[in-house]
Amino acid sequence: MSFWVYVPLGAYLIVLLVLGLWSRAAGGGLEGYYVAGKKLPAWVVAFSSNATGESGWLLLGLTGMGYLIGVHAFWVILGEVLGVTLGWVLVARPFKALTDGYGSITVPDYLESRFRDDAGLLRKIGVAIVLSMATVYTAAQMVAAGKAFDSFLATGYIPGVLIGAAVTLFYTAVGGFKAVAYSDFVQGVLMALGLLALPIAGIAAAGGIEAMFVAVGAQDPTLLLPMGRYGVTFEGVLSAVGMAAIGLAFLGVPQLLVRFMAAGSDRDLVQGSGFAYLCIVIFDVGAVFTGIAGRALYPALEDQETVMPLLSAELFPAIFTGIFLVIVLGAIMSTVDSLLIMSSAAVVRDLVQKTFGSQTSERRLSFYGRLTTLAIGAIALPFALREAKVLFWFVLFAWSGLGAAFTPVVLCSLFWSRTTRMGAAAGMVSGFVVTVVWVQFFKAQFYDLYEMIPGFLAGLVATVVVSWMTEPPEGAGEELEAMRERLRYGG
Amino acid sequence: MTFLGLGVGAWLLLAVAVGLGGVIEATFLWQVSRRRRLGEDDR
Repeated sequence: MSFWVYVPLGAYLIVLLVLGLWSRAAGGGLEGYYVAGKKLPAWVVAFSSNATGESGWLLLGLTGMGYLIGVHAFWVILGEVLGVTLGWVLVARPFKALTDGYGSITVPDYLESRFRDDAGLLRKIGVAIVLSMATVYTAAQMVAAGKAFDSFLATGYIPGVLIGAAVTLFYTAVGGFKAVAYSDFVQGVLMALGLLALPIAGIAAAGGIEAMFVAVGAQDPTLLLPMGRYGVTFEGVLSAVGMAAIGLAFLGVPQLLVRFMAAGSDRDLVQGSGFAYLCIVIFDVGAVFTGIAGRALYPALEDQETVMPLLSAELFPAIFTGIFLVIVLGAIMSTVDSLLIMSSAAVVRDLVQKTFGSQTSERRLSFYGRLTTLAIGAIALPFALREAKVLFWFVLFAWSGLGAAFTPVVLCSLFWSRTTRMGAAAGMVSGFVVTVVWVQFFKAQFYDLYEMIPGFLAGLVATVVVSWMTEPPEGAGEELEAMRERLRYGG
Repeated sequence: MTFLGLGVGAWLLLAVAVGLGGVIEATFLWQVSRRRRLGEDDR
């Protein structure tokens, strides 16, 4: 292995460690540790939220999907671009305005204040869902880190998992959310650059865009059809809708909502929306076209999820192998760090401080937060070390578990003043439970319909129906109207 | 007959996938700046 492969990797790891140490000064309290003092600039919020939302699935999973199903994967682009755009246009500013008013630093904080939930029911449900899904999600990303190190540098799987986990845990625990957000920004920019370079190089190597599509069509003409091998059938429509539904969660998963909360101002969210749109377009179009170019160049791959590492190794000089490893690691780490900090906030803020009513000082609690970050990483690690077969469907499952539990409730809470505390509780539980039950018992019999759809629908229906049957919180209508009025003229 | 090796339906889907979000984003930015101007005028 060339020495030059290790240079970008070493530089990247040093940058992360420095970011971790630099961010220690973000403030001693919980607001400093968990939302970076609510001072993040627009560009950091935008790239950080997309890098967090996408994970290693983008570079390995979505490129593989482009390879496997061709143009049919355009439905994922549609869903994600719409999801991100609508998240920024519809959700970000109202959510930021309300959470600033409440002094919230976690999503359960927000739900408790919005629904006057003095008994803390929503907080407990939220914490249970966050911790269970984040552990699965983190373990799957650690597996991806192990595989990335092993496939790029032949380190072996277990050393790869350990190196990735050690670096991520260090800068997350030490630097808190500020380190997470700024490192996500660096990682997001690297991902965007990689996903610009890879498809351009791939298309050029395939002889241009027309030659690429002709080569892919010669292998299988259905790879060039929007409805793929299904055609315009019930199964085809379900497949397309399922892929587009991946984008739904961008409207309400807690690891993204916390970034809106942490933005410096309403103006940052307006500016950030443009960055976020451009970023997601580059991410998704780049990933799908990388896969399609890979299919034209290497038609017989056994594992389609190796297409991105293969293209980077075959089409670029040796030093770029290191750069592309850094990009894959960036995608993985930007998600793991966000899940760790979110889980840590769930334990320290939501359980210890708010549920158990601890009177410990905020400075000490933020120290416990660092320890909790390490502990949660340590819980996920054995799953990753033992289960090398965790696949990317785990990522999509955890993504939809969080999305179905939180997104319908968050949307109703922002746009329907009639939403009630019990409606929110029913929506969260239904969304989460239906997602899990669908995967376990029904998915295989229903055309592999992606669990986000039944989960989201169940969450929405339960929230609306139970809200109609119960009394809304006092003053909610006036509160939402006042918030809208403030935002109408610039926040 | 195909354009650059791909059918109209596929290009249309890609254009909608990328463009619809762009239209929403542009409308949002235009609306926010217009309201801010109106707000400043009111003051």
